[in-house]
Amino acid sequence: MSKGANNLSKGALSYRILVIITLLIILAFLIPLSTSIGLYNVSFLDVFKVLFKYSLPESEAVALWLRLRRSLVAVVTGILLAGGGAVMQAALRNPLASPFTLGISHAAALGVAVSLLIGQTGYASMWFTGFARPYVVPLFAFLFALAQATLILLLAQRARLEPRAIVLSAIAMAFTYQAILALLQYLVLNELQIATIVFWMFGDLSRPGNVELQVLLLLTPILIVLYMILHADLDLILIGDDIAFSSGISPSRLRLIATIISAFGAALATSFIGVLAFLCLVAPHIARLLVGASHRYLIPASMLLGPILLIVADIVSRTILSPITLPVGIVLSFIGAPLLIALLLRGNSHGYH
Amino acid sequence: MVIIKVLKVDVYYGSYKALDKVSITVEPGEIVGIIGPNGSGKTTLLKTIDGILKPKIGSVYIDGRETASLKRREIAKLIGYVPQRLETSAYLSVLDFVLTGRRPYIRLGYTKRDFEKAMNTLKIVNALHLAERRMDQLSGGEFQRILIARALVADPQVLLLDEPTTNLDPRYQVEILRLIEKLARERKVAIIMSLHDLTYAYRFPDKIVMLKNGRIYAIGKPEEVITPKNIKEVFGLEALVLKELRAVVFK
Repeated sequence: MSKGANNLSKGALSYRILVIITLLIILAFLIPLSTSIGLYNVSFLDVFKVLFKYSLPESEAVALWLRLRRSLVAVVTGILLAGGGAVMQAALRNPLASPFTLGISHAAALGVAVSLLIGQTGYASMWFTGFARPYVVPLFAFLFALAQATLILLLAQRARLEPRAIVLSAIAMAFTYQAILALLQYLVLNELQIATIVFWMFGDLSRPGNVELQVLLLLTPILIVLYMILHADLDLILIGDDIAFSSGISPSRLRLIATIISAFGAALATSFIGVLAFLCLVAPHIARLLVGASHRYLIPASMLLGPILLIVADIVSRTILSPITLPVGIVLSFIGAPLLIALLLRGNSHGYH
Repeated sequence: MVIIKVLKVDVYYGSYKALDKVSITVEPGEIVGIIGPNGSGKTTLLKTIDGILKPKIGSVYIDGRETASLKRREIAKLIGYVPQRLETSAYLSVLDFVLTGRRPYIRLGYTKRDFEKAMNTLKIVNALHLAERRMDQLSGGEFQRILIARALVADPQVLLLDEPTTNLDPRYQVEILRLIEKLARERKVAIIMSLHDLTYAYRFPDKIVMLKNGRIYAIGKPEEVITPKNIKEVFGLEALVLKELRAVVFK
């Protein structure tokens, strides 16, 4: 092979690695920045002190830990949602596919409503919800999200639906869940419960406590590995089912595995922090415009852009109307949507370079 | 020596019989052209040889082994498939696209060897300068060459091409067919391709399989199979076969 050819390929490779390293540095900078900003003023330096276990005045340490926990929650949920979105977009070969267009967020919201309904009736359930209150709502959200994922998979496997038909039927189901939810709100639930659902649907990074963060931190690395393992197969399935099969992989099996993995990731994130649907969609698309469609770069880039977008949105949500903290999902849509449209308009002719 | 042997296969789409007792043999370095009207089973035959479609009756043998008994990965190393079109390839670079053809050889990720192989294959199809181009920015001829490179990068012994000259202007049509001819002659790759253009079918392949309604209507050397009588029977067209020019014209 000629030397020129070698350099040619290295140029493109190092460019994409450079993008990923840059994103990593931005994220590493954003975590302490986000932690230092807030009502209680802490300097950027103090954040590092806390990170490296210097002792601080107790009140400061507590405030810092709460904010740091919030940032860490943003990082792991950003990874889970954006990575899952990138995987689903390829597996269903649909730019609109994400764990959420599969109706998972609506199913989860319905789960919250059901958990509130059960909590309302009878002494035993009152005791149950009182006993395990912080876990009942996320648990129900998680179970409903997983049930919806299972339903989608059954549709895909048993009825042998095409990817496009899967997305369409999932959207139809999502509308059904929305209708049931609206019906419950209209007929059964009281104002307080409706408010709970509405707040839950905004997505809130401060919701998970220490235990929830531990669960997330424990499971996220596993999901990162699972997302990444699929990279070569996702490139193939993007090109076409026949050609993928011809190159030695089973498209239907890959679709099954990809859906299970990303539905699990999305269900995990959603059950703890609520709905942040837009992130799954926007982060992989921005990543694609930066590093191209090859999944060995696209998945890591998405998993970095997810946390970055979420932390930026979080910082804005806490500062723009301070002392009021806006729900992060609202700010995320305000930032993400114009960003995506601008990048699409500008990057139309250049994927990377 | 025989590299591909298709033995009396029947292939069904539901209850519709798409192939009916089709048998062919192909030798290394041989170019086989499949001709026939739309819906006669050309693509079905290619997909059956690659194992994408499973025959209800009959079997396909690669290098003496039945494909049904081989692992998918093993078949992928032996047979390269060049489809008529892709679902999508936008935002993939040419190099990334060609690398996907190395899938049967990789475990977790691509190695240096895979990259070298991909670059070498791009050189073979005369497309080294396109390595970093995005797939959706290629011309028709370049695109077809990259498709062939993707199939070739796995070092297959058999290359299946589904109408490789469709959507190309005449210059590119000849260029692609010459490339295919070179692969067969120099690298001893067995070529099986479906063709619409009867002049090309007359000129390039060593053997022609003429299909009609899922059955082999005629099989043999181009000059034996592509005759005015057969064309009339299979395509329903009056044609002249100009033997000196090796060309087919319709009246």
